[in-house]
Amino acid sequence: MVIRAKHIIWCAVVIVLLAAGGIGLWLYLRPTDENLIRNQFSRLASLASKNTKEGALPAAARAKEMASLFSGRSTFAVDGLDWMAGPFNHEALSGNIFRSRAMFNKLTLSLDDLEPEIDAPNRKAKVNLSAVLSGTLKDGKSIREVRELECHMLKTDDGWVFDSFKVRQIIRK
Amino acid sequence: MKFKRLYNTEEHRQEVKEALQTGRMGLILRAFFFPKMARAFLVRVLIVILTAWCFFKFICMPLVIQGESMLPTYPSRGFMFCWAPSYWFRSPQRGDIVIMRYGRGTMLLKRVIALPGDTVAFKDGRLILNGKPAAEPYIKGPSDWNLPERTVERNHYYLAGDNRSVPMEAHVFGEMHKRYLKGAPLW
Repeated sequence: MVIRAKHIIWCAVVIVLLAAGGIGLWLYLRPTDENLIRNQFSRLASLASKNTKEGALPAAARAKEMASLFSGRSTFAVDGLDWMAGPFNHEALSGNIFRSRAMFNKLTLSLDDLEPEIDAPNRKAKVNLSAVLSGTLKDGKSIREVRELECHMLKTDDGWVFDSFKVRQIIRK
Repeated sequence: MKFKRLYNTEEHRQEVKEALQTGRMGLILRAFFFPKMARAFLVRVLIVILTAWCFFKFICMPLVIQGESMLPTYPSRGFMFCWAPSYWFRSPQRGDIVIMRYGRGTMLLKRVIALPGDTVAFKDGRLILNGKPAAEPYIKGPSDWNLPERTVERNHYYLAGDNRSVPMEAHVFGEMHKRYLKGAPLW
């Protein structure tokens, strides 16, 4: 077998491409604080979403899993919904999530435009993002709500948890 | 460096040569659009697909206008491209038409009417910018908007559509953070 120069060049190109892909993948997936925070938001969005009819038990388990992503004393401030303000513990949060998700037949939560500002020494982070809640209510009505969120997170031994959410209109008159 | 692979294969080169010699348009078109499948051809197709995907996803996004908030400047159901490089090296100015991301899958087409730190108000349909009535030659219809004065926050732009004939409550406008800025319409 004759090894020609072009074979060597092809091999070099393939190796460089594979190395670049590997480095890219490593940069994208390595467990930095920013990636861990982004993963928490993906998890929250995926747990909140609902595509098919859900039984009470799986829904309760999902609500409990969602609540575990929050700190034990999470606060919420939603523009125009004063009754949602105040601190919530895991049980209260889990109940609220269960009731809120039960209002929908279909639900999709998209969290985008994430801008994390990490305060590593104090184990805190502030994340600005946009959220789109879309779906079909039990009465068949479709909704699509877009909001801007300001989220504060805390770093615990188990990872990052949501501590507070401020929800407001993305465009304000 | 020689570019030997202008044709996919020797067969393809012959095919193109014969097509050009005979001058039969059918053969020329077939040789051009449906060449024999070969590695070089597939690589070219892949490069074209990837380049087009990146270009239309991040640089020049195709959009269809839904709604009448920018009448008469932009009609409803109009087609346009959002040119992202417009604001890569400069910031929007008053009067610029910009495209802002409004949640996943939706963009807002609006005009910048005030910059960070400006005060903005509407009185009987007239825009009051920094305490003085602003000239807005692009507004055609009547308007009765009234809005108390407010100061635009840092890193925000105040946006409004050109169609101020619609009731203020039904019109999506206001201040928005610059992080949602996606670009400007290409035309």
